[in-house]
Amino acid sequence: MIFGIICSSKIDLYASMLIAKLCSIGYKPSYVLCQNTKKDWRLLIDYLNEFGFANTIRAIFNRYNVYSEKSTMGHVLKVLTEYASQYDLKYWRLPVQKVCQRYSIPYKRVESLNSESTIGFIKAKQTQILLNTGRMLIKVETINAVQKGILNAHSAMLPHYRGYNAFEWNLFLGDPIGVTLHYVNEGIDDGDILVFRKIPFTKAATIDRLIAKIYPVNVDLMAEYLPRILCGDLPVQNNDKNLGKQYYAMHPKIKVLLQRNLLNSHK
Amino acid sequence: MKINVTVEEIPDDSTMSTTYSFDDLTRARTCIQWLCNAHNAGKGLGVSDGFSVFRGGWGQSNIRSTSSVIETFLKYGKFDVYDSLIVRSESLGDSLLYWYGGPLRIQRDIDKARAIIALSSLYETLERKDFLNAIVTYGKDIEQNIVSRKNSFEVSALLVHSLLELYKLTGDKQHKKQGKFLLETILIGCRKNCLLPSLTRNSNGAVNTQVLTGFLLSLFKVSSILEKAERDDITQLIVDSSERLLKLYESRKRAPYLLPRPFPRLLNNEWRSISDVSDCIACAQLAIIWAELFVLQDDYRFLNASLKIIDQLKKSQFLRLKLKCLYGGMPEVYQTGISCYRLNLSTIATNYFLEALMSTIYALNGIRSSK
Repeated sequence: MIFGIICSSKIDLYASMLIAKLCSIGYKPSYVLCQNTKKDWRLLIDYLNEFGFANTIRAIFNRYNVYSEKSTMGHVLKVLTEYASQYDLKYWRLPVQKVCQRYSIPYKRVESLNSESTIGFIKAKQTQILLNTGRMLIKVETINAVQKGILNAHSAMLPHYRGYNAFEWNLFLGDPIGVTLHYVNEGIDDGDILVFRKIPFTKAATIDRLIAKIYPVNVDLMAEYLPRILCGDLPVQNNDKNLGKQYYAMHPKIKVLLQRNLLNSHK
Repeated sequence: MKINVTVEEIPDDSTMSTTYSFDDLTRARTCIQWLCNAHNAGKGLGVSDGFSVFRGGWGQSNIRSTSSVIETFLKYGKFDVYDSLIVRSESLGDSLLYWYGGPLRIQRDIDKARAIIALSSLYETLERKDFLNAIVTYGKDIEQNIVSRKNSFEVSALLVHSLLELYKLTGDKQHKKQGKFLLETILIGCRKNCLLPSLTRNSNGAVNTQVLTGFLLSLFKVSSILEKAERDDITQLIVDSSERLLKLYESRKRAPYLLPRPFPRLLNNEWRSISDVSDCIACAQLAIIWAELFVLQDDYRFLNASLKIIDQLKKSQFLRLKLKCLYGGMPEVYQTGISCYRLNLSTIATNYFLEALMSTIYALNGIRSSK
């Protein structure tokens, strides 16, 4: 039973929570691979260039101020705290590397998941399954290096909503919201589908609050299906590309419309 | 200048476009003001093609800039409480008729087609007989040459548009027949050779995106004139090409939450970018096509991309100094990191930018009223 986790950031609450959850049910990952994403300072320069100083500071503050009602992270932390207390999970608020240390899981930082050395590492470990918590594009060579495949939890209904901000598009166009667990292939969100789990649409008047609800469902799905896949192959559903569309980052003006629709739906 | 349209402006609440402190309607008004200044600079001989600090002032007027501004003034003059834009468009129509010395002075088919389209709009609003006479004369000229001259696809699409406008006004089925014949030639050529190889190429063998978007926009206008049963092939061609352009644009992303990189000026045969420079006219035309396609297909991805590409264009609009010749104008090209292009403003780019802005405003209003 050899499986690993791949993430794209050293501070990834989803990855940390997944490790904690899997360890609590007796499935300790064999290793965790973290891909170096774009250097933080380069990202900061991009932001400053695009939005100016004041707007950059405001954007960072809004995103990471966990005490603010406006902050996405604030909602995510609230939801995950409730989830962790329900299952008595520990260390999930720590950075991925620290969580790995606490559970004695080998942690490796790699330049790219698609590099030859990483592929060699995955093959050498005879990895059966990889669980993906990041947003990187994975090449076919890396996918082929894993025996049973790479699992990903996509935050929208597949095959209808592929790509970026798929959850928001799913919500905006009025289909049931939820998470789809699927295998990764060389395309974008078009690998075979294992299951779609709905997220109840109740009393969540903002997009951020609804997005926060995705995290525990992601963790639950991974933890539930991993043992079943390791024991034997599960039936999969074909992810027919023609049934859906690929979406891209949602423009703020459409997000505002979505927010208004959500507010109106609760009146 | 007042645009009397009731539009509830949507505030920007996210990171993608918070730097722009002017709302869309203010931008539209500044565009119209700039176009009026370009008209004044034409000194009764049409609309100046633009202002350049390097050239040392306003450029000469030409048929392309004059005819496109006529349509814009007519379109937005209907919302203008003072009717001043209608008066301006009529005087521009006169300059098309008289300053160019009548039909014989306009030599190129493409210019005749532009004149027909502009004068048709004027005739529909003002019903002046001399406009209709000129249109019919230009139309005959085009029809005489239609078989003998081998025009490129983008010119042919404009000719089809002009012939169908002529058919709409006169009801003469000969114009429609000729137009449809030419249209069929274009569609067969596109099916046979694919779209990009069929368009005019520069010396490097690359297609200028302005040629491509201009071609698609002409086809779009043609499809709106044709009856529903006759336009399926054209609509399919427009949708397929627009989807490819959408994918190309959205794939040019930088960091998350930032706008995609500017749309390229040149494309190779595989629909890949081969230029760092962006063409503002092509971007604005693309924004119009996408906004219209959203209305037609109800596919929000098109509206989304249209809003993004307009955000990109907003960065280029000159709104820093309230100088008459610069304020509100749009440059022809955009290049990241280089700012001197802002001092070279184009009437056509400003005109299309205005149309793109208004298309997305109407599209967003449509969503609000329907949801």
